[in-house]
Amino acid sequence: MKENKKTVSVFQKKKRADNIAGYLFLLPAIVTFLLFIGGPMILSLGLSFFDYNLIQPPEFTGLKNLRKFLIDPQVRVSFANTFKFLLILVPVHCIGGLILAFMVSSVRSSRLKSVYRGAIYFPTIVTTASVAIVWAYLFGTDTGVINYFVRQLGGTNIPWLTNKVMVYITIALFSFWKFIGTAFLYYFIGLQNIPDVYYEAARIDGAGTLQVFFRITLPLLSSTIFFVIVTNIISVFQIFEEPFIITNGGPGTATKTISFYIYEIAFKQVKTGYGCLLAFSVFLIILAVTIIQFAGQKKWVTYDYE
Amino acid sequence: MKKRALAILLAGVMMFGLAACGGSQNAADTNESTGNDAGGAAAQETEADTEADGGQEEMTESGTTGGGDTTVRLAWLGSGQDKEALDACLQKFTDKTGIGVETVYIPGNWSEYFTKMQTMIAGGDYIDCAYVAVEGFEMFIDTGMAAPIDDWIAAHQEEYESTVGDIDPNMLEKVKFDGHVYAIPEEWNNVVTHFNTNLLEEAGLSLPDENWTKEEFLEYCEKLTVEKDGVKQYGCVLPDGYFAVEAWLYNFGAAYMNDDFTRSTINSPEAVEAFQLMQDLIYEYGYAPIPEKNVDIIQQLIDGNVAMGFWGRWPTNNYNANGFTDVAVQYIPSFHQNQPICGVGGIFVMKDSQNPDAAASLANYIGSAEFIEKFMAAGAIPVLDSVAQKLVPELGYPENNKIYYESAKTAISVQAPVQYPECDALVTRVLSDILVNKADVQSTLDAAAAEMDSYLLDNIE
Repeated sequence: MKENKKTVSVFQKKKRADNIAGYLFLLPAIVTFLLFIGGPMILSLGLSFFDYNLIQPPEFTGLKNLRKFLIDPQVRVSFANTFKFLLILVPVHCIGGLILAFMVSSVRSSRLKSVYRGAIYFPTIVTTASVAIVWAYLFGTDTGVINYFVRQLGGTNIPWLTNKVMVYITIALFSFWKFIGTAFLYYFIGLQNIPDVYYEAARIDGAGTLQVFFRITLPLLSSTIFFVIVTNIISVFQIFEEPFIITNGGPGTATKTISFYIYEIAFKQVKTGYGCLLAFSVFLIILAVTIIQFAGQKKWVTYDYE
Repeated sequence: MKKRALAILLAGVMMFGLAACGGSQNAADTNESTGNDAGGAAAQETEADTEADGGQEEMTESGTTGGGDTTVRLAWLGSGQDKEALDACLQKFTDKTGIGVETVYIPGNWSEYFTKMQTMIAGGDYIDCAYVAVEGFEMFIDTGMAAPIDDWIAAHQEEYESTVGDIDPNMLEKVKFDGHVYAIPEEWNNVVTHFNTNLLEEAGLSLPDENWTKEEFLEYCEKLTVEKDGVKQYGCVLPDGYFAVEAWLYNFGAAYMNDDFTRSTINSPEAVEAFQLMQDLIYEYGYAPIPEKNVDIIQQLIDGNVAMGFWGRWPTNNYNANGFTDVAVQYIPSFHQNQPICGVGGIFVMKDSQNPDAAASLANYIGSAEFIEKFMAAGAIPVLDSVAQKLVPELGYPENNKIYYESAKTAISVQAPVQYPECDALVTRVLSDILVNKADVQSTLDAAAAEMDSYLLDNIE
């Protein structure tokens, strides 16, 4: 009996020690999170109840910023535009990246595969702002290179950046070229991780290419697809550089996104309190959307390859 | 035991790594506080600006040498491309007074310049004096960033009078608020019509009279809009921002708001007429291109793609850089009247200055003829009448350049309330909606007036 108690005690001690070691390993991540993410988030929530222009002391204004938030037409416009970008860019990246990854992984020559991989991923390592400027020049209505060739071919100027519908296509084209590499890479790695044995078995059973894709590739890639969708939605919610550099939020307010509006309020008008409230609202929306996605993933995502 | 020790050691190493990262962050903060780099709240926009301009737009510092114990920190708009010239001019001040000058160049437009300065001050950095344009006057005073210099003037009456004695009283009034003097004015700008004279000549046109009418303007636009080798040459580009648009409004007898900045008048019948004409110039007549963010419209005039544009004297910097001198200027068409606009710039002494007297002395020197004659060959109009009359023609172009300084007496200041950043953003949006989205002018301006009224509510006593 005594022996048994001693064993339990030693086991508990070891467990406690392991726990402490585990927490110590977690500590850097927790401290980093609290210092650079959690702390600023709480500070941001706190500042939402103040008027603060950086020069004069913050002035407590209670729910004034919240009331303004609820009636501010620019908030509605900015969120509506952000959702339009979500509806366009998330499918473009998630489906486009998958198609490219599938096509490249089907290439037999390893040299060609490397070339395609490099070509598709290269734009993602270039600074967005610098290439966005170049694209903006390419898409100019009267002075742009693309419209020059359109005119040479007998066409008329396409309003790439001066039409509120066309401008979404322009940004989607840029976004596809610039960011598709990230989704592509995740899918490409995901495809490499699917064991060949499933494909061999399918071939033996006489499955066609489409059947293999829909019955084997897609289900076994679902965890990667889920990851790409989640990260894409989060990044599109924060879309800023494209409208800021290419369109300046225009024409009118056609491409003014919520991040762009936060920038205008917090950094151009120096209304830090209201800017914090806007930022916190975006955080809450992203959090809610992500929670819904994680709740829904149980129905279609598989992590089991065996 | 070994495992536990190893775990603790590893955790310690990781914590050290984190602490080291924290150190880097502190280093960045220190840079910010010395003005070498931009961080904190403004970091995102500075980064965006920097990236947008190919990494060139960082805060720069320069300074004079041989100063004594006192050094004054001066904030200056720009990325420091003129720092050798500015340092050389300020060196004379240092040689005379023994006061050193450390210049902090802050890149960006006016709104960004003010924001970055606010961030620097909020971050514990200090600025003794700053170059500020009229767009920031009210904001600088309202937020308590600037301090009046009445005491310094009382103690240095002669020195002050020798500087400002030659300034038109109309201009001098712009730096006075509630009976206090806050700055020494240095330069100003108006908005006039710029003509590419080569294109005028090709169209058989000469420079119009100073009171040219709307009908004459449209006739010029028609004759100057032609198709050349499949490329359209436009008669004019439209005014592209708050200042230039208000210059048009003034000539229509309109304005963005009333005189005490308490109510918007952007939807007055005259303003509607002005914005309607701008829209018609694009869509009805085809005389002007649709404005686009990334098109340099001054360069378009230089390249001969457009014949007329509406700016102050600032394009002379672009003209100089391009060796382009085939340009003439005339007042904006007298749509209803000829009412020139002005935007004054001057040196403000900051409330938290560590050397307010030395800062005021520097401000006074920058406003003096000695400084301006050496520094301001192009770009702005010297606020000193005699210097303007000498320097502006000395450049040799544009033709009819006397209109830059002869309107000093009658020019009305651009309207820049404390809420300038909000109003500026609103006007930019309205312009884009009307000129690019082809939105209905009246309803767009009605909505804009309501929004502007909500900004101006705070100005009602």
